[in-house]
Amino acid sequence: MGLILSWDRGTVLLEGDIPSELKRLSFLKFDSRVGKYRALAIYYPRILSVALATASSVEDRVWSPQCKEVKAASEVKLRSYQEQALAAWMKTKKGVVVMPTGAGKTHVAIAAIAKLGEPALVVVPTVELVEQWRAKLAQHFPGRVGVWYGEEKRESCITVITYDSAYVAIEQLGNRFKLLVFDEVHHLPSPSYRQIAELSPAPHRLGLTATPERSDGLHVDLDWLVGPVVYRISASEIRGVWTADYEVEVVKVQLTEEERALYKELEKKYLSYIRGRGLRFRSPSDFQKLVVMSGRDPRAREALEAWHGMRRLIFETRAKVEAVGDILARHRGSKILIFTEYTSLARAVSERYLIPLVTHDISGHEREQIMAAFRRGELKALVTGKVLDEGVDVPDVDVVVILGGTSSARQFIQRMGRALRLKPHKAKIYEVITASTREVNTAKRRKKGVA
Amino acid sequence: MIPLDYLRVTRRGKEIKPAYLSDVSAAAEVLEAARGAKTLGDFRKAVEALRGDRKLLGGLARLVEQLMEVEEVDSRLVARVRLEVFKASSAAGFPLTPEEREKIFEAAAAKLRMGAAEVKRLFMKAYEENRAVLKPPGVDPAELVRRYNLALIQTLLFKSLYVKATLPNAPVVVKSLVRAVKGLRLMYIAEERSGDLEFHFDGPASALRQIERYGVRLAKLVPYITAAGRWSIEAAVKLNEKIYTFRESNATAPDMPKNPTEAEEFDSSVEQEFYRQVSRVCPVQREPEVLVVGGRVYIPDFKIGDLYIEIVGFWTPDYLRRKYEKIAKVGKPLLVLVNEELAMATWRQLLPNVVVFKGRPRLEDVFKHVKPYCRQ
Repeated sequence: MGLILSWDRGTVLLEGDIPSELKRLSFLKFDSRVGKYRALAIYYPRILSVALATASSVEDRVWSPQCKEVKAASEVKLRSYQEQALAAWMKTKKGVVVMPTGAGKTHVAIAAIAKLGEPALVVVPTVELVEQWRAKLAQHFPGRVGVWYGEEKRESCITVITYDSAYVAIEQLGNRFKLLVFDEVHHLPSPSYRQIAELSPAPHRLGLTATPERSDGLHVDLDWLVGPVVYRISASEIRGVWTADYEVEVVKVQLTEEERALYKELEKKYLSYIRGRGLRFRSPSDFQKLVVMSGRDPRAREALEAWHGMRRLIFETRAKVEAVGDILARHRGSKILIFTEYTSLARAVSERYLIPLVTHDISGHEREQIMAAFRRGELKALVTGKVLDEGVDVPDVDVVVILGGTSSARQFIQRMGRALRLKPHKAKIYEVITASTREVNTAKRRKKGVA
Repeated sequence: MIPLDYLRVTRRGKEIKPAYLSDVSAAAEVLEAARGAKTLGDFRKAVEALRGDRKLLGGLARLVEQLMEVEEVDSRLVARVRLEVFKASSAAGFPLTPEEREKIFEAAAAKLRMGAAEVKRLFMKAYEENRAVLKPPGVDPAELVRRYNLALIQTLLFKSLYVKATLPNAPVVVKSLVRAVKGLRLMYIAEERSGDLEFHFDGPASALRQIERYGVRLAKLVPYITAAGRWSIEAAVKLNEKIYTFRESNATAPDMPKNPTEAEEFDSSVEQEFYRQVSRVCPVQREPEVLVVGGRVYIPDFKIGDLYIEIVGFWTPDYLRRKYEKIAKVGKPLLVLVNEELAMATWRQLLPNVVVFKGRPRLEDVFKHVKPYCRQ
């Protein structure tokens, strides 16, 4: 009996005559439960190449492909830099393409799927993006696109799936797709999502993002989970040519008297603890220390609660709801997209001005209809928490209103990006900030490095 | 099960245990809040107003929400109504005053041919907390406490790397447990130890690294284990990058909810018919004890004397060989009955202990195999 490779729920099993060269591989372990050698599926390409070079015969039973081949019904037209990105990726068929928001990363992926001709699993962060990818893929591969999330699980030759669903389903779906596409690939290195990459045998992997870097440093793992960055183009290299110009206006609002008194009190409580302990926060991981301390120290817990209270006041003050009214009045007829930090503020804005709401507590069915009507122009404004931060195409947005957000430059760039699709006139971005609070600094930090 | 955010534990060195609840007063208060609530939002607010451990109250509230009957909402209708309101609002350039807002609802109502009040009511039903509580949970505080303690064990196991369990060799319990393991795509190794069965549960990738991936699924096994009446559990739990051991048994744990697994009498009419026929000539034991061979569990359907009998559904010769070779090797007498029509491949020769039947097994097909074991 030669060497037999088979698939077992995210791993590869080896039985039969196993050459010593294979047994020496550190990632291959003998599993006494089944009496066979086992490895994470991500090592499959390496196992196979060593096996083919050393074993007398190899029987590869790993694959159970979703379909034989994928063919595009229509040609995928690429811009010159997209063409370059595709060519760079095709050299190894493994790696990350870095392009700014609005530069058409999706097209690069569609062209890659068409060129490779293998069944593909496309992993995306949100339900909105599933819909968007499905629609775009269906133009080129009619009848061959399935989606897999929540209630709807229809697998097809090309299947679009959320990171959350893929984390669970990779054990079932892993050996059906030879190409993995990760949209917004900077999500992948997190401790759970990375298992999607580790438990898949797919030899071909494409990652897409505008900003691969993560504040926790885990982006270095993208190299082995997906592949190295094979192509990178910055916003400044494309801006003006392909995306619109923009203008940022800061709108300052005041806390009400009552809110201000409460804010001061919370701030005092928070600062006295932080200063008393000599704590300094230079990065999100420093802040994590306070979170950990709060598990033991009731005073740390109080300080943390105060900090949350301050944030809530800043992000939810009635004054912000009022400010939206002014902006709406100023831009009647424009397409407006409003972002908040907390769902509760998004809901308050929605109820007050009867603006559709896209947040997690609204049903998928309603969200889908809202997005479609917004694209068609039947709805002129939309308010959302974080679900639209990334990648979702909302064409022709003229005005972006940021009512609250973190100090992350990535979030800011992504939210701005919603208004930066090609259009003849300047886009307008409003940042509504609560005066004389921490938010002033937060807003400064997120704009640092965004020229 | 309740979310990890509500987990309460006590640690002692490397040991970890849920902080079980023994006092019923908190459970009684949360149940009382549910009884007084008209909507889910009312209930949540009432719980928020209670004094006490937030994690405890939050966990109890989760369980209570799962147990109460909440108004079902036609989410398609709600979406249609809301979309009409939003469109009217967009067309009018968004209302800035309460009067303008009122007019939007009227415009949408006219379009939908509904009353404005009904439109407003449905508009707000998109939010979960506006849904009516139709019936509070039908459990008393003591039962809620039992369910809460079970849920705490399960939630602790969300972060488990593996789970071990010891149970008596009782076929009804083992059968549903092993079935759950397969359904959850987990793995097990079984061992027989002084009449009891010892199980080790984890997943495929557990052999390669410490992985929490299977924790949520391992947690789902707990009710199958505690259903045994006499049981013990051991697990490795990874919390905040530290690995703890969790040990519990029916002797040390608080009361668990009574959820007797239904004794499945027969899997199919074929088995029922077989039992009816054979039991006329020979004493037949149904659901005999489980066989453990090479770490695997076999659950025969019947036993006659020392002879185990299993009736198999769909089969191939390969499947039968793989499944029964080991049992044959360790010398346990086993008779396998297979339906000719359910063969998934052609065959020429089968193991000598396999009897092929058509339609349903008849006494004359099996009598010569059964007779030597039959002790009237």
